[in-house]
Amino acid sequence: MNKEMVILIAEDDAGHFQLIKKNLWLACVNNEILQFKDGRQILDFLLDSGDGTHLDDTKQYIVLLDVRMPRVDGLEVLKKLKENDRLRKIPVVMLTTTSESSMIEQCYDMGCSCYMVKPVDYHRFMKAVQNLGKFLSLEGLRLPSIG
Amino acid sequence: MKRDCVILIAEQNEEHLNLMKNGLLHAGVNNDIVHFADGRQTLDFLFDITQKSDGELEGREYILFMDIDLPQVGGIEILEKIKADNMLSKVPVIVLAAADEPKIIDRCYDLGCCTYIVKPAEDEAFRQSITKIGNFLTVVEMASLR
Amino acid sequence: MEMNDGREKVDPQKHGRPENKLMIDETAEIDNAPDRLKIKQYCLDNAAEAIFWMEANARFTYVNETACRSLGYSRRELLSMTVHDIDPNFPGEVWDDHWQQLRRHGSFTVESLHRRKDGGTFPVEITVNYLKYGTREYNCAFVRDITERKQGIEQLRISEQRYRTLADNIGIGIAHMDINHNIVMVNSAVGCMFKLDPSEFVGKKCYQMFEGIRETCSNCPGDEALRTGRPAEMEAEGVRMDGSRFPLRVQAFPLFTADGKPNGFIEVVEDLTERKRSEEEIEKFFNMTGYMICIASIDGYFTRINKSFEQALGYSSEELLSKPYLDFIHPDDRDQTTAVIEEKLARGAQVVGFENRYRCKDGSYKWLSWVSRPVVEKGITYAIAYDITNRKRAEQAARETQERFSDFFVNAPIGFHIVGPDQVLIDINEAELAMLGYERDEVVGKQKWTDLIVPEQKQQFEKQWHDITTKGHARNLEYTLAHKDGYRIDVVLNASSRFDEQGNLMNTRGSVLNITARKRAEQARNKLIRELEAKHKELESVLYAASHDLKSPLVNIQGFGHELLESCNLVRSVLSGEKKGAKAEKTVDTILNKDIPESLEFILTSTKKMDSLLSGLLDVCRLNTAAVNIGLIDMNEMMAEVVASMEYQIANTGTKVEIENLPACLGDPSQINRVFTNLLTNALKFLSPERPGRIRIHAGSRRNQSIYCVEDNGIGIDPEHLDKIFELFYQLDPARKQGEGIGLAIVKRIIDRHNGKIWAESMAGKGSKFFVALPGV
Repeated sequence: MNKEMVILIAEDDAGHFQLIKKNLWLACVNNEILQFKDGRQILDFLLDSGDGTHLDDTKQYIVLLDVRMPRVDGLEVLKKLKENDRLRKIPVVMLTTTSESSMIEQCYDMGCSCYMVKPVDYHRFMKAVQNLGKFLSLEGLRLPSIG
Repeated sequence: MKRDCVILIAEQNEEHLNLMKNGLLHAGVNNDIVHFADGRQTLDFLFDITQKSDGELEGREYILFMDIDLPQVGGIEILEKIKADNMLSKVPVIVLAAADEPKIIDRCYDLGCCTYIVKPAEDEAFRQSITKIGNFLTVVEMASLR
Repeated sequence: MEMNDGREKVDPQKHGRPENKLMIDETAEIDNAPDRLKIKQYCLDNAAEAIFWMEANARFTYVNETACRSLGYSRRELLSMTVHDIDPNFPGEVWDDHWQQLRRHGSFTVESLHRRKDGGTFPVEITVNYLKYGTREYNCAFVRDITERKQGIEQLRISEQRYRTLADNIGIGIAHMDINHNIVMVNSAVGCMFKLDPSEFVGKKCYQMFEGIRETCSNCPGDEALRTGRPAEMEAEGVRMDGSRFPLRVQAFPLFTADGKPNGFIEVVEDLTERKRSEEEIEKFFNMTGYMICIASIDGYFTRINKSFEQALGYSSEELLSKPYLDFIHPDDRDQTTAVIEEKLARGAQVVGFENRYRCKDGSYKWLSWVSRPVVEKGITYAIAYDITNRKRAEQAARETQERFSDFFVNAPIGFHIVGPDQVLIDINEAELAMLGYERDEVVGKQKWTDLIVPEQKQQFEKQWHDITTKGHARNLEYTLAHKDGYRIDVVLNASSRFDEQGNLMNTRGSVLNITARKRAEQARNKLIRELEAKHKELESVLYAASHDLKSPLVNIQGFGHELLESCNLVRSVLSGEKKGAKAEKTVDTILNKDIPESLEFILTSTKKMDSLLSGLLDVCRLNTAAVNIGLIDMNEMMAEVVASMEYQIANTGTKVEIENLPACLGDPSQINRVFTNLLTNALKFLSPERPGRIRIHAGSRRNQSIYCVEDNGIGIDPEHLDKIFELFYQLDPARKQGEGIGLAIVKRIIDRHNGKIWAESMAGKGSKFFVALPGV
């Protein structure tokens, strides 16, 4: 695990965010987690626009992205990221309620690393997020640098 | 991951392959595994898929574990070619490598790999990593190829 | 006896003339010697024959008057001449020989030529006599002019030659027999017939040579001819030497001498082989089956009929020949037949194609077609009849079919028409006329069927016409025709074309089925289906959006429900003593005051969210089924109402609302009210903090629409989102204000159902304009 790994979670629902955060923690993910409430916010952060916080190019990032977000939705964010020479290396994990295959294909087409569906059933939800967490905690996991 | 998702493993080391198979089994992954010992075979198989019709594909899903270090055609080249193809670019690629080289790592992510994993030196650790990956894959959705 | 110089010597014996040795001493006793001499001299001088006395030197010593006359010389002249001068056949060279012969024979007769003084020659017969008196030798020549005789002989020869040529070359055989039936002569034709040389016949008996029998034929035509004095005829068989026989016909002509005695007969023999063969062939033709051939006489009977007649009618030939032929003809046809006979055949005119019915033995009738050729002089008609019964039956059947078709054509409920190659209507039935509202005489011969098709389809028909007239048919073509009154009818056309033997188009028949009603029903059904499909799609998308957006709160409800459980477990564990002390207290405190309320908060919020989502959905669904009561809306009035109802919010936000003069429109008042309430609400929601809010409502007219605009100076909308904002559940900025994102979706649906349009223009940070187009007045 890269201790410098920062997990960026773009999730408009506060409840969802809470639950995700909790389960990551349960999976022993202790990395810094940044929350973004809509697409605009995360884009501002990543693109160094807007007045919020910005990227730290000494750190390594991974993005957990919900699809349905106000202002700028997840697809838009994904598109903008993958268009950007510097940012496209950042792995993006879609984490969303939609399980539509057309949406899944579209996200993979646009270059997401993988796609996860938020199960309504909480046990499955926990399993999903925790497995993600364990995966992210893999000793051998390497993330790109965006310097 | 659906039941009929095919796990492709491009790995020249027989032992590693077995460890991986074992590790996946431990994660409860029963999917079909197709193995390639070299890059040429990998590419041939993958591009064969592109020739198939929709009927033959039946919305099949694939995921590729690929060692960077392959004879005949290297992992980087394979990654390039895969991500350049309309259909194959949808296949998630988990790169397994012995090397821990930032340049290679960056290159792989730049080309669009899913994640880059450095193989633990010890067999048991390697197997366990694979199990964790397997567990993760069970909650991941793949794209059906068309 | 032939002289070697070419003169002819006449054998005195043959001519039957006795030798004439003239002995002076043997003259008749006349007393007076000088008278005797004068008489003798007178006789000599005036004898009819020319007399010449010559000596051995060929010189004339005495010539008589006739001699001089015949030659045209005077006596004096002749007495100075020699034989050589007058006879070209007796030149000097041959005289000595001649004289020798004379001495030897004494007297003989020769033929020769004499030359007159004028140079002309004439043939003569000379009888020369040798006379010796003492030593003196004399030749006394009696000369007769045989010109006539020669001519006669020549003519006879010519005549004979002619006769011989004719006899030899005539195709018919000629034989000449004497009264004893000895063959005198046969010509070459007879020789050919009997395959012998004509010379073989001569002298033999005619019955032997011609019939091969030993005695006269019993009915010998020659005898009969001689007996009756007139020609007699007989047909018999000739028998050749080799035994082969052939048919012949003999005509015998009697020959009589000048004094009427039978002198033999001439037979003219005709070889009948060829003729017999021809007759056989004609017989064959005559009896050739299939064609009924006959000869009828003017008295109304058949005189001859061939086998086919018998076969066709079933009667025997006796029966057919025994009764007048009119008897056999169908009663209804008798008058006509008689008329034809009297008017045409009796006058020698040929008749072709006359038809009547003949009764057969079994009582049925056959139709016959006649070709008749009369020979008025002979009183007969040659005729051939063709059995056309089958053809007549076929014609009858065709007529019946035609009538049936005609019936059908006229009375069927389906439209029928026939057009010529030029597409002009040749015929049309009542049903189609009724369909189109025309009278028959308005269209038949006057209009093309294409004229009835609506203009936009005419070209298509032209293409199809080409197919119909080449392939020969077209099936189930749909066209729209124009009724005479102008309205349209939809039809289905089936067409087929008829061609003649050369492949030229004769006519095209079409059947026309009126499917207007069907089409209307189809159209209505299709419209209904489309509407249903659209509604279905809409509901689907609503459901779709709903299911997704309902999931989200459920995740929270489940998740925090679980958290609550966890909290409870923790409390339980603390209460059960698992945790003790300050830590335990802190834990319980946290749980009671933070964790549990938080979880509950999430849960409650989520349920509320679900509730509003569901009611929004219900709203949308209800909207789909709600009636749209279109009426005239005074927009000025309505807008005033809307603004009035939002007085509080307007005042609260310090916004200024301006309404300009608005044109009226057509719509459901309550729903339109809702639209503008929503738009106004949105405008108030998205005011800019930087400036006082200003909302302007204005409108214009275009074509038949009234277009209203709600314009604000708020924060505006990102151009990327402009088309998404009308989507169900789309939220521009949930953080800003409450809203489930249903408002604009509902607004759009309302406008859609009014056949109107709604769209937005905006500049982020500056303001927005919402346009609504509705049917104007």
